[in-house]
Amino acid sequence: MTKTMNERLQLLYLPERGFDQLMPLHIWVGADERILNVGPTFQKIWGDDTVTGMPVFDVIELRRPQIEESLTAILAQEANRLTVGLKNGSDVAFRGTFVPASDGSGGLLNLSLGVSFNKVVTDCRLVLSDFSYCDQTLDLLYLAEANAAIARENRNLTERLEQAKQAAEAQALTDSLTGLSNRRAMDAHLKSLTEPQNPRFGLMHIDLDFFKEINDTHGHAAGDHMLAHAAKIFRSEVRATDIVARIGGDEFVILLRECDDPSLMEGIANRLIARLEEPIEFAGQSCRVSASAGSVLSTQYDQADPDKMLNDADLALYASKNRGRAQHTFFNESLLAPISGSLQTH
Amino acid sequence: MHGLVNRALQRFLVDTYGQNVWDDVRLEARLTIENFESMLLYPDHMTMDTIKAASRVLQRDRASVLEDLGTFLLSSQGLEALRRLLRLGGDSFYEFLISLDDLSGRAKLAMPDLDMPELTFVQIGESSFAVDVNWTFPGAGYVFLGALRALADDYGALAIIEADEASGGKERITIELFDADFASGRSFSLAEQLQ
Repeated sequence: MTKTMNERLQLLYLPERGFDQLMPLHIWVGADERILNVGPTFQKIWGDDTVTGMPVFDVIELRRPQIEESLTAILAQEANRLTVGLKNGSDVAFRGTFVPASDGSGGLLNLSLGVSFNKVVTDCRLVLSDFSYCDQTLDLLYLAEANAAIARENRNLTERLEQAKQAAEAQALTDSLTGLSNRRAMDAHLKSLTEPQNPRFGLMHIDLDFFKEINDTHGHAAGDHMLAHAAKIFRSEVRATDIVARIGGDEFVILLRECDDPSLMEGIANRLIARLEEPIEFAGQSCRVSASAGSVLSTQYDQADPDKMLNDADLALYASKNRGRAQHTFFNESLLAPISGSLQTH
Repeated sequence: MHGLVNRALQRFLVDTYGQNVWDDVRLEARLTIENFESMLLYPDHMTMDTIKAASRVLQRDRASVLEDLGTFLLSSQGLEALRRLLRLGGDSFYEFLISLDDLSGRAKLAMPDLDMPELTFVQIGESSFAVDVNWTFPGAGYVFLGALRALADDYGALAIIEADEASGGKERITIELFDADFASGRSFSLAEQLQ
């Protein structure tokens, strides 16, 4: 005759330590709602006072489902997922399941640490033997530790890469948006151009007009598109050996090698401005800009000095802006007087 | 080979013998990099070349270099995390040895792309055991020899741990455990928080 499940369970006499070993976090509740036994790990998490003998609802609180704290109510929760807290001020949240005794005289509540395992292990100073060998909390601990170590390694790597990137950017010679030379590269080219005796080159400083309006009305993507467009025009209007640089937001410098002809520079500047003024489409909208320019030739100086040339080209550029923009001005000494005059009026 | 392994090797050489030795090893191994990054992957030959170069530069045989590497991994201040991970395996040295079966699987959980050696724990007698180390990288047995000796110290266990000669890609370490609680060992608590 085969035995019924109930009969088999009757025969399953576990040794006293059986429950503790299988379920180190169990609470065995008697018919009088008092605790008959708890697992050793539960006792450790609770603290020094002996839990056995206490009324169960002085020890645990049912956080979910939110039902009346009585044996009758909890007996009806068989097989449901319970969230259980402690009434000693600790913020541990156990996951639990309750099995009523077959005769209805109390039952067995088994708990696990759930995702709060890391904090409980730390706060209650648990050790390896506090966990059942079947409990995967140890694997989770392992994973959490490994994760923390890997995250640290990743952070270190990211920091090193960021530093390397900054170092590379500091040494870069190209403007990443337009592909033109950047300010650093332009300074280096200008310095080497002024080094020979009696150098022969032209320097043109260009500033886009109404660029801020494009950024403000059409957005930065449109602004970036316009800068790249302008760069393409500048590049196509000069020889490959000439240097075109973006030295600031919407400021460009062109260095024309072997050039001592003011009318040639004037011609280039006017072509650049005319081509820039052709409206371009961006995201279905028409964008218009223009440019003001100012130029100098190295042959205008007894001693060509990079800073002086840049400064003078800048004065010529501002003369273009003052005269109503969208034009080119060639630097001459007379520009120094009225500008310094107007500065004094400020 | 995973950068974690290469980085550990570099760290061992720099911390134990100094930056100059590492520079010499780098040149000798013809490495094209200055430092291994722990989160990148490298061709396997770079690891082999580095070990061969280290053995030449230090004028020591490969096995003893690898064994020292294993000891370093478990006792270096900077690699406390690794010691903690291994000590999570068990409360005693014996339990730890049993847990070696799980080590590769656990490491794979955390880092799926880390090619970890397969370790198999073999009980030979009541107090004698063996650990079989199976890895693509020959010589790993010596690294584990150093590591297991350091861990036995860490647990305070008195044991004789020896390398068995390699056979068929498997390297065997034999352990004779005399007294699991010989000394008090280094303290270990799950609650120690990593920085």
